[in-house]
Amino acid sequence: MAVGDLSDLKARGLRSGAPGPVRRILRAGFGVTLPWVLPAGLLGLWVLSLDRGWVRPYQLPTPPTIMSTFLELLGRGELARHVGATLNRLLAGYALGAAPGVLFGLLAGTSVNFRRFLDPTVQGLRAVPSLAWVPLFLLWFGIGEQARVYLIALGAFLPVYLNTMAAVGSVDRKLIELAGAYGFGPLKILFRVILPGSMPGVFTGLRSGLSLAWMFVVAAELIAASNGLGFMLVEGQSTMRPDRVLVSLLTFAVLGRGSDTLLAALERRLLVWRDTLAATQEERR
Amino acid sequence: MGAVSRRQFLKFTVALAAVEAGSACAPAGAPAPAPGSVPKRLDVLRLDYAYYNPVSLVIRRKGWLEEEFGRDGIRVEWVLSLGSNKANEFTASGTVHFGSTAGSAALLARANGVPLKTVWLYSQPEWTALVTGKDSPVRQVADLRGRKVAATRGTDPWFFLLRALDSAGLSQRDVEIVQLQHPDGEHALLQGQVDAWAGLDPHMAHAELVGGARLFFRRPEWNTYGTLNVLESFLDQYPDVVERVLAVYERGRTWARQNPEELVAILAEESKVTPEIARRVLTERTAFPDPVPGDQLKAVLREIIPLIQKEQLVPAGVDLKAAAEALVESGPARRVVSKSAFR
Amino acid sequence: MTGAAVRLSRVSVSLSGHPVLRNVNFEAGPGEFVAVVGPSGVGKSTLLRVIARLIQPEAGDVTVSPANGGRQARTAFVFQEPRLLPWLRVIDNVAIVAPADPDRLARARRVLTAVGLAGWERAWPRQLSGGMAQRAALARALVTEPHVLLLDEPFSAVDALTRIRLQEHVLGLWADRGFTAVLVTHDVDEAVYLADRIYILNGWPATVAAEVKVALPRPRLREDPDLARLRRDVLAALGPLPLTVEGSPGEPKI
Repeated sequence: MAVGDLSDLKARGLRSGAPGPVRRILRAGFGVTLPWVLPAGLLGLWVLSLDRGWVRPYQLPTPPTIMSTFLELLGRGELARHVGATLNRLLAGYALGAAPGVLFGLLAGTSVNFRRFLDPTVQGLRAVPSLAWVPLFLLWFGIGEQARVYLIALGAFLPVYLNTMAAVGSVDRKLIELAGAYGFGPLKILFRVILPGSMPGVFTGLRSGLSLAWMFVVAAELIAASNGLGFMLVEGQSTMRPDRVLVSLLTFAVLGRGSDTLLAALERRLLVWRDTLAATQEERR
Repeated sequence: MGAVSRRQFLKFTVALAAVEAGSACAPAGAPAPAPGSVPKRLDVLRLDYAYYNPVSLVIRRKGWLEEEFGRDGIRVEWVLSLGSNKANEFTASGTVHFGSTAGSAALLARANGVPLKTVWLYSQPEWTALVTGKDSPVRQVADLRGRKVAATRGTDPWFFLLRALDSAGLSQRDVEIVQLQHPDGEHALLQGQVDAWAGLDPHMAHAELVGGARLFFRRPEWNTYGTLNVLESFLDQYPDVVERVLAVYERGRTWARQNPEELVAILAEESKVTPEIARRVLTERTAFPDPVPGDQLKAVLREIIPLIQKEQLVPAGVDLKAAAEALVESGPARRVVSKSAFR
Repeated sequence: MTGAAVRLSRVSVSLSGHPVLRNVNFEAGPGEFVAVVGPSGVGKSTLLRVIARLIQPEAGDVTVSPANGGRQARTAFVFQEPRLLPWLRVIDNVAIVAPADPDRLARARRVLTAVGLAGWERAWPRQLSGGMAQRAALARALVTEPHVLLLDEPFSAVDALTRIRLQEHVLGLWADRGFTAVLVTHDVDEAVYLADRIYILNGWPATVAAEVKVALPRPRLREDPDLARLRRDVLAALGPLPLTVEGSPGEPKI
């Protein structure tokens, strides 16, 4: 078969070469709209259920009501105040939990004795359902910021530690042998082979730790708080303002998603060398 | 630490966290049916009971509602309300048909769009005051500036706090209001985690007698009554059920006035306080006057309208006077009271 | 850069309690190209790792002495897979094994050019083909200017055409730099084409079954009938079929 005979290929139903401009636009359009289909559907369902009386406005406010409450809170600076309080707690707790998580994960991954020392206790802690910690922490640390930040730190610590430890364990033995063959000392092996090699797993842990930190921030703010998005949720609930509840929920969703996106972008930059399916899919984007 | 033990604290806060996380605005229980349809037969009657509604404790204990509705095959279920905010949530979501709140909380809910109807006044209490610890430097409301005060938003003690702050020229922005349900607020005060607490009986009396706490700001004339509320739709569909429930409440009210010592015993047992504490609450700070909600309720509600507007507790443009008018429904109670007068 | 003399005398090695090598005597002179052949799993790679001091023998001596004096001889290892660190660019992969002096990157660049990878310095390992990655591994081995280059079946993972190109590369670099080369391979053709001498390992535990001299001048032609004859000799020395080793798995092959 002559290599240059494209009409023959077309006849066999095979596409020839790169897609034409129309195809490209359609494909791009499809890719852009696809993530919005589901939210649009939910929005439609929302409006419909209010319209048909399946739910009452005092149970689930209309989208315009939410919008106006949102703008009102924004204009008064109240939303910014609550967002600031929540983000403060989140970042403090996350840093406090993730840093030891990486450190102990590395230690537990590389040293059998350290793992035997720390891991059983951590696995035990892991079994406790997250919400159960809230009253306990409030009892031990009072109702101040301390309790909340420690709670969030605990939430962030566990997945970071577990994922880091696993990542260290899964570093390719061949690479470690290579390092040994070229005379790398133990510190050089740790910093130039084990640490970079565990980075993908560490990032998985960091992202998972972030989402848990968000969950713990809500839990911590549901009780005995005086500011924050979680507090806004409870406040709205107590004063029969479901619109404030929803503004709080939506803000949570946006911030949570946004922070994960930032972390994912950082991950992509630092892990540009990865040779995985996910990495190639992102390349094609 | 007394009756409000650590275990209770833990139990309440875990339950609180779970309920809060799950029930933010989801409609539970029976949703209101579309207007114009034939009402379904009622299978279950759900009411709340609360330590701040002593008559509810009596009729629940005596089983009078089960007696009344048992012959029709209607089951009766009881749900504990830990505050007006919870009672309002339960009523709005259909978890209960009858909710016990303070008048101020009922008005707030109505103004925020919940179609409540106050059909009964179950008490005229001085059930709230501002409380501080035994050795606290706080002497008057102005001392609260910049301090931590425990209060439950959406309840009468919270309204009381806002009014008190207003009277001293402060607003809620001048203090840090820590959101805690009533029993937890008491606990926090006694643990020294907050400087003051907008208290509610019987927890308040408990704090006084067991924890040595001081009621440093009292205003009996600011009370907004204990109101029993239903959803408008429930009243429209089951007006006879409402009247029968109110008739039982009237029976309870009469019994309470005639059996003060037994009432003390019931309150003490239910809310797990000593009889001494229960007695202080019931004899010194609670009365059971004319239960028909009418002008007396509207008058006290009108007093708090400026406060609600000042603290922006409702969306701008809401007509609070109209809400107060729409809230109060004296018909059923009047009929019940006149009937019982003839018995 | 000149090579080193490698000598193993009466070396025995056990792995996980199983004897792998017994009483092995092995010699490679400075600048010599020596191949080690034998059935799959016999212990050829183990022998190489002993020379590289990655495995300690339980008996016998191992000496690697540089030809031009000096105490410590440098060995460099090329594995069957390229084993490039995926998070470093090609040039950094080469440079990381070199001593840390300001010249290091320039030397890395030079040796990459020598293996034909000029222009690929900033590439990521995942962007390289199998043959290119193995060449980068070769460059990495050479940047340390080793006295002895140890190659563990370095071309078995690439296709036939690439294999030939890589063999020529190695030959050229060896001729240029004069290091001692020890090549482990299961490909007898490769051994007779590249090596000056061939050790044949066989048995369980393995011993040196035979030693074959390849006294042919270079450059050699692959179609040379002398090579074919030598090939037959080597195969004969390997003994009758089956050409695999029975026995328990022992230490997993790294």
